[in-house]
Amino acid sequence: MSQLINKEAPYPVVPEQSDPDAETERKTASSKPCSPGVDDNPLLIVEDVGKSFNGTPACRDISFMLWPGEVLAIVGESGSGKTTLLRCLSAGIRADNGRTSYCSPTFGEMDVFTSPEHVLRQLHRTEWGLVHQNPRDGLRLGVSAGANIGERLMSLGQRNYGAIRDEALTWMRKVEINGDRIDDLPLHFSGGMQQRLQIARNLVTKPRLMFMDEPTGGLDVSVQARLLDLLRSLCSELHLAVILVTHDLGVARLLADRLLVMQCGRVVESGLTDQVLDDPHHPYTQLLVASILEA
Amino acid sequence: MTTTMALLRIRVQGLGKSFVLHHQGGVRINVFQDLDLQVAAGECLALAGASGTGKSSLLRSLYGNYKPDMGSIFVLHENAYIDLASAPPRWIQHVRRGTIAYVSQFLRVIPRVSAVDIVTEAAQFNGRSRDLARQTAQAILSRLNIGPHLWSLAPKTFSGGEQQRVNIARGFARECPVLLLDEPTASLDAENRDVVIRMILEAKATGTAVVGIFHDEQVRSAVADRIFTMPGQADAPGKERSPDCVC
Ligand SMILES: Nc1ncnc2c1ncn2[C@@H]1O[C@H](COP(=O)(O)OP(=O)(O)OP(=O)(O)O)[C@@H](O)[C@H]1O
Ligand SMILES: Nc1ncnc2c1ncn2[C@@H]1O[C@H](COP(=O)(O)OP(=O)(O)OP(=O)(O)O)[C@@H](O)[C@H]1O
Ligand SMILES: [Mg+2]
Ligand SMILES: [Mg+2]
Repeated sequence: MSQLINKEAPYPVVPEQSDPDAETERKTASSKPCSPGVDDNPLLIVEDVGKSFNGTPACRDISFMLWPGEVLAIVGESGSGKTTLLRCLSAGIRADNGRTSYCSPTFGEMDVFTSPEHVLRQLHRTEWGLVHQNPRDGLRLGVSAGANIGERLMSLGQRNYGAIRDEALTWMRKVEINGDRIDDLPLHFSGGMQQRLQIARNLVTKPRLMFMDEPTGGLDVSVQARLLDLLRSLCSELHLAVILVTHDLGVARLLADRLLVMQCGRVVESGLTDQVLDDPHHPYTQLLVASILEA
Repeated sequence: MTTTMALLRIRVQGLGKSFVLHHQGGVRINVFQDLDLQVAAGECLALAGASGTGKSSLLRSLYGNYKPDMGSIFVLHENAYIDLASAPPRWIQHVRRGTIAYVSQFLRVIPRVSAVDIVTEAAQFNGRSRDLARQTAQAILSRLNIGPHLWSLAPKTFSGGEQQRVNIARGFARECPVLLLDEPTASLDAENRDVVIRMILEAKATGTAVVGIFHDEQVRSAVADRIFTMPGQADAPGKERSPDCVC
């Protein structure tokens, strides 16, 4: 970035309006307190993250920042390393190299890859959420819908059964599941309902950061539209930061502020969602955009 | 007020935009090069030129939707000039939120979101409450003759003109210092066109800088202070002229 501010501008220029992506900004991040939404501190700083399986790189040289309340979509062809990246960042698998720091209200500025197991477990129950493509991977199918939502609260020590049940009902309503299904097993829910339950189960502790892998993947179109609508309003209402893996550019267009385009394990293009989709520069992004009807 | 009038809101310098179509033989489309233009508060600049000369591309660049390959686009945002041609995504979003409204040629419908919600969302940005934003939205929709019976419907089933009026309502829902209009009245009848003209004039009166593409001669002469003619492919860089010599 050469000259963000016009020096000759015939108007007072706010000093120090430097590129928020610049190196210097990262240094100051740890010294300031984190308060979601109002400040300029990134929530997540990802630097040079890479992961190989049996010597073959699945993702490499991944660097980006995520700010509170921001939705970042990761798009790219099958096998390009999206899920692998998401699992590294959420500490589900161990990255081979790189660094991810997360700004936690509880733990302060922390290095995700080197944090102890119990700290990560605590994050996953409170400040983070993880939505799997297949809701069956993210739900406990053998216990009731209410118990699925209540689980995080119970793991945090809440014991008041009535309060937990009320909270579960509130969240069922928010994700548009009829409250009289609270005692039913999610096993018998439709795919769309299961996915909404999985989301509710994550949101009950009001996380600040959600990792979502193809949340609308296995659903038919009308169910997808409803879920997207729900996610859109929840993201803004709860000021959620989301890393959203999707192969659907329409989903990215609707939900994401920014886009990373991955190919062969690398980020080949990134930027504002509408800019990347309307004015794609990289050959691979142009191919992606050209091969869909309308995003 | 007099000082506000002289204030430059947009300053474009040496702007160039091309597209490289990698999957069509790598052909390069040089849309425009070396454009210079300025727009002051309260002023309306109309972009003119033959089809394909890059009017929409220029307007999209001013919104940060297209990424120019050369030059700068300084937009006055909260007391500082930010260069949209080089600003990082988060900044562009910031400038859009506080400073720029863009009315595209067609409404991009969002599934399941009602007309009034689309406009309310846009109206809510200036820190207004949801209720106030909704009232604003309803007032603007009514003004553009989108009646209450349509408010709660998703515009997917609306007529072209109705969709476009929702789009315009969204653009005008919050008073932005910069207003970008891509053929806003193309699919409107005379009555609604006159409403839009009045809305543009009112925006100008409050110090908004307007850049627009108006194919309709009547609209253009009613709102534009100056015309910027896009240079043709082989022509010299764009030159400004007064609206009198347009025909
Ligand atoms: N546990 C694993 N063991 C071995 N190889 C793996 C493992 N997980 C992923 N891979 C490989 O890493 C590469 C990236 O896979 P990944 O699942 O991240 O892709 P993806 O972008 O999520 O694809 P899709 O869109 O199909 O879900 C693939 O070649 C995959 O076969
Ligand atoms: N996203 C894009 N990718 C590739 N080429 C583009 C893109 N957008 C515009 N172009 C090309 O740039 C040139 C200028 O198009 P633009 O839409 O800006 O013209 P215009 O002056 O608005 O025309 P009209 O009056 O017909 O609307 C055209 O050749 C067009 O094909
Ligand atoms: Mg995957
Ligand atoms: Mg055009």
